[in-house]
Amino acid sequence: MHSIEKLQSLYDSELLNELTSLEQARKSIRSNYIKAILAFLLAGVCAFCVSNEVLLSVAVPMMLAALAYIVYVLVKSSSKVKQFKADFKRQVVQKIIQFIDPTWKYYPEKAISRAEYIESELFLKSFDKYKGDDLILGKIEKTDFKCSELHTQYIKKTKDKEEDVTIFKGLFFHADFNKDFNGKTFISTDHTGKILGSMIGDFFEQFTRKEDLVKLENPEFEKAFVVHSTDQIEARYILTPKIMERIINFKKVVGVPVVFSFVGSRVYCAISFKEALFEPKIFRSNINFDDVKQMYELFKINETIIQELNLNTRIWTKA
Amino acid sequence: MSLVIISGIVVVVFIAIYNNLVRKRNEVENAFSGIDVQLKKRYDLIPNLISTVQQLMSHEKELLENITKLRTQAMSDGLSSDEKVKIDNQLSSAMGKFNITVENYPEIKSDESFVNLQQSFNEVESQISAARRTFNAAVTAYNNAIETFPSNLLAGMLSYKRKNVLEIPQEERENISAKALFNS
Repeated sequence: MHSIEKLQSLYDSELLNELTSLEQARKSIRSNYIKAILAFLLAGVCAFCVSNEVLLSVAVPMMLAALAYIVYVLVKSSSKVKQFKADFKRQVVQKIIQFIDPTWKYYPEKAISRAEYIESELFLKSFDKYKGDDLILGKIEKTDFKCSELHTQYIKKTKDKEEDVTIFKGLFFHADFNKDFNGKTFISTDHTGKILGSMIGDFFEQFTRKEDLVKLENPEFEKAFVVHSTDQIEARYILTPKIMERIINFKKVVGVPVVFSFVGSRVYCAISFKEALFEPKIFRSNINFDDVKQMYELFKINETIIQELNLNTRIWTKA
Repeated sequence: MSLVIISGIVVVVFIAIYNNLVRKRNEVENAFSGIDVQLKKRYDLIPNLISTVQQLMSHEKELLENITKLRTQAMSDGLSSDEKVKIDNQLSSAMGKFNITVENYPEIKSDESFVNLQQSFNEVESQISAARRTFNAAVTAYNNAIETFPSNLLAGMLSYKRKNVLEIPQEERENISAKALFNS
């Protein structure tokens, strides 16, 4: 497959030029933002003067002017930012995806649908806000997959305020498992076991989902994950000793929390990231091979899941 | 008053432990019947598999007869769980030999109906492996319950005995793979 050296040569021959051409737009947006910050500071100083009734004749108009300037700069920048992000995705992100596999389809504005997210049953909390982008549709050997960035939130209402609480933020993926499941199986991160120890943890884990708790033989797997299923035998049919090892390995590779579900005939996987993915930076240069490499590695996760779960070997057969 | 409360708590704890033990024992039985279902599926596939290959594999008469004999034994009524497991292990070993022998017959390996049968067989083997592991998990939970305090006291009174887990054959510890088994 493609190596980092080949990616480096793509970067040197194509991406570097694209990133350099985007630099001017980035600098212009950054300078607008800096101006807005300075205007904000000026408005703050003026507000201080007004509250202390010092230099009122100068402070009041200056404050109003500063606020008006901030609004003007932000409105002016917003379309520029939108264009800049769109150009970045078209000129850089798309090229990285095509470098991995030219047959993969990339839709920067689209995302995994709400129906697919709900179908996975990975997150039981119902969402109030749903957004996502960077949808990829592809096929690796015989296995079709879909992947996008997602961010779901619910609104937490307290007495005097409302706040958005994240349910999931990161990469959401699903692929064909070539098997129609009768039951539903869920692999989530084991939080209770870590805090309370395995015995008390087991007791509480029973209640984290309505499906039955499945105890598996691999201690390392049991330490990292908790499995629930509507069908004990099917859960073990999916989670063979080798698949358990591969899932542990996958978690080590991505290094962030990851959950899986096996529903219908598909495997769903949600990988949590704190930061927004595949977005250009505004306050520092994007001319940086490490950023490109990081995006490349994130896209390669699709391949890693399919390889680790051995989906191409088709050991499972559809009835 | 306090005596009534304490007695009440003792009764509730007693009932909870008793129910838990019964539930665990039933889960073991249920898990064994799960293996049984899959084994029956396997037995149903064997005659088709044998009839598909017997003409081409006339030199392996002994092996095919042995498989047929073991299948008949396994399907006979009145077998204890231990006997079932023993015959099944012998049958698994014979099927292992069969799969290796098939490698010498390219004309069988390319036969479409044989390939389909082998796929079904492989599917059932994976299911059996999963059912065995489910049974062992149920037995482990049951054994833990009857040997740990305080449920061991009640288990002793009910004369609940420790149950044995099934030996998982080495090849099943590895993931069953159609590719590895049949190299199709």
